[in-house]
Amino acid sequence: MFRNISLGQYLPADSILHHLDPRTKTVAGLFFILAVFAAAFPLELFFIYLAGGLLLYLSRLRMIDFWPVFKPFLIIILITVIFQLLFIPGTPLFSFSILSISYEAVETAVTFTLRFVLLLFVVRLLTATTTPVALMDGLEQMLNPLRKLGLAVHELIMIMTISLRFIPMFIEEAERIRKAQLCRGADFRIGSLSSRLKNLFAWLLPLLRSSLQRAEDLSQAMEARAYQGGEGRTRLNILRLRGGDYAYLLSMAALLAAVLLV
Amino acid sequence: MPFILKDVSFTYQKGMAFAQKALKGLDFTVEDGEMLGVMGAAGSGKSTFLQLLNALLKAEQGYVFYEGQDLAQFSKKQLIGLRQEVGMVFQYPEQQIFADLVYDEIAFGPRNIGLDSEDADRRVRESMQQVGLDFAEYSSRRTIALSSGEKRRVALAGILALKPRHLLLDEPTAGLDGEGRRVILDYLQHINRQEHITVIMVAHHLGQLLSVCRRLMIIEKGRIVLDTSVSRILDHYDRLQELGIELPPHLEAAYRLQRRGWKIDTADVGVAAIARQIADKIRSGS
Repeated sequence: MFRNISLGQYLPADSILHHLDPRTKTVAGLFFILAVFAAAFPLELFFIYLAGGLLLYLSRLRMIDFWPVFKPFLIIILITVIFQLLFIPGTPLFSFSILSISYEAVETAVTFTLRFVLLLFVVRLLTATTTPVALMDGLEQMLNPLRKLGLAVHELIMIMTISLRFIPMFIEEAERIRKAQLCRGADFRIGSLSSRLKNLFAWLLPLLRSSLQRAEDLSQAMEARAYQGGEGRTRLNILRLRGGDYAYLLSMAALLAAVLLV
Repeated sequence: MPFILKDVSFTYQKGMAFAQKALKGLDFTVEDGEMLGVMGAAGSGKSTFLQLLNALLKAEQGYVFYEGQDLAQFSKKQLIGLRQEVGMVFQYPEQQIFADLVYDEIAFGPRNIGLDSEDADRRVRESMQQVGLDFAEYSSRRTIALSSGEKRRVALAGILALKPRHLLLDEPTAGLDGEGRRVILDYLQHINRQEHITVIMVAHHLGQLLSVCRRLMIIEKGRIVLDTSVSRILDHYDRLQELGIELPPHLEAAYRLQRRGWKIDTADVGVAAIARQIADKIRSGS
C-alpha cells in the first residue's frame, strides 16, 4: 500500500548537478519547464530532449531511478491519450467504421506525452539531486525579500521542511499500525461498510495520536535547543553561487530563450 | 513443526536506489511449544524475520512453511485464519490502542473474527486474567488513564483474546521499568510452560532472553550467526565474544569458574540456580 515512497526521495551521488546550489536548480528547473511547454513539435521538443539527456548524464542517475515516478502516471497518460485520439477532429489519418483518428489528434497526443514525461523527469531530477533540506533552504533565501511584506518566510519554510522530513516516518508508522490491526483480525478491504469504517478508525486514531505526540515532542526538543523562530538565527551552510551555478542558469535561460524566439 | 524456513531472503525497497537486503538465506525450524529468543543489533533483520512468520511480509526468495503449507500459497481468507493462530505483538503495542475503554480495546479482535458478544466477553475475561489485569477493576477503565506497563498488558490481552497457538513478539519489554519487564516476561514464560503456546520473541537484552527462553538465536546482518539451546550458552562463549555480546554477570562468573575447573551445571541459567551452586562450592570448600 505504501511501497511507492520514492517520489521525492533524494538519491545521493557525486555529480555536477548534485553539487549545484539549490536556488540555481530550482530556477533553472522552472526555465526548463517553461521551455518544455513552449517547445513546438517535433524539432524543438527533440532538442529539449537532447538537453534532458545531457542533464541525466550530468546527474549520474540511471533511467531506472525515474521509473517509480513515471509508473503511477502511466494510467493518466494513457487515458488522456485515448481521449485525445478519439475526440480531436481534423484531417482523418485512419478510420474504422465509426472510429476516426485525425492527424491532429495523433500530433496532440504525442506532444502531450512527450511533454508530460519530460515534466516528470525534470521535477524528479530536482528532488533526486537536492536534499529536501537544501531545497527548502534555497527557497527560504529566495523568498526572503517577502519578509519585508510581513510574511513569516522562515517559519513557513521550517514547517514545510519538517513536514517533508517526517513523511517517511509517518508512512512507516501508518504501515506498522495497519499491520498491527491486521493481526487483530481487522481487514480494511473486505467486510461491510460499517465494519470497514470501524477498522479505519482503529487505524487512523492511533496514527493521529502518535503524530500529535511526535509534534509535541519535537516542539519541546526545539525549544530546549533555544529555537525561537528566524529572527537573528545564523546558518551553518551558507549558500553561495559559484561559476557552475551561473553557467547552468545561463544555459537553461538560453534554452528557454531559444525556444521562445525561434 | 509449525514453522520451517528454507533459504529465505528478503529485501526492502527492491529494485530501488535504497534497496536493503534484510535477510539472507535463512534456514531453520521452530518446534511446537518452543520458547525462542531472537537477538541482534538494530537493523539486523530480526523484525523482518518475525513478520515473515505470519505473512505480513512475503519471502522474496525461498519458502516459509506453516504446518507444512507454503505461506506464499495462502488465500486471503487463509491469511486471516493464520494471523489468528500466529499472534503478533509489535514493538510498543500500546501505540495501537484506539478504544476508549479497556474492555472494547480487548474485544476488538474477538469481534472482528465474528464471535458473538457472549463468546467475546468470555475471551476478554480470560485474556485479562492471563495478563494479570483484574476484570472488575480494569475492564471499565479508560485506556488513556493507564500506565505504560498497564497499557502494554492491555495490548497483549488484545492479541491473546484471539487465542493464538503461537505468539510472536517484537521487543515486548522495550521502554518498561524493571517491574513492568518482570511482569511481561513472567507472563510469557507462564503461557509458554502452562498453556504450551509457542513464543518467539525478539529482544536486545541477552539477560532477559536467557532468563525465560529455552533456545537462543542471534541474527547479524541478515544471517543467523548463532542458534543454540540456552542451557548450552557457555559452549559458545568465544563466539559471543566475537560478536561483541556480553553475558550477564552471573554467567560470566560461572564461565570463569568452570575454566578453573569448578563443576557448575548450567542446565538452569537463572541467577538463583548459578548463585546457589557457587555458594555451595564455597561452603563445602572445594
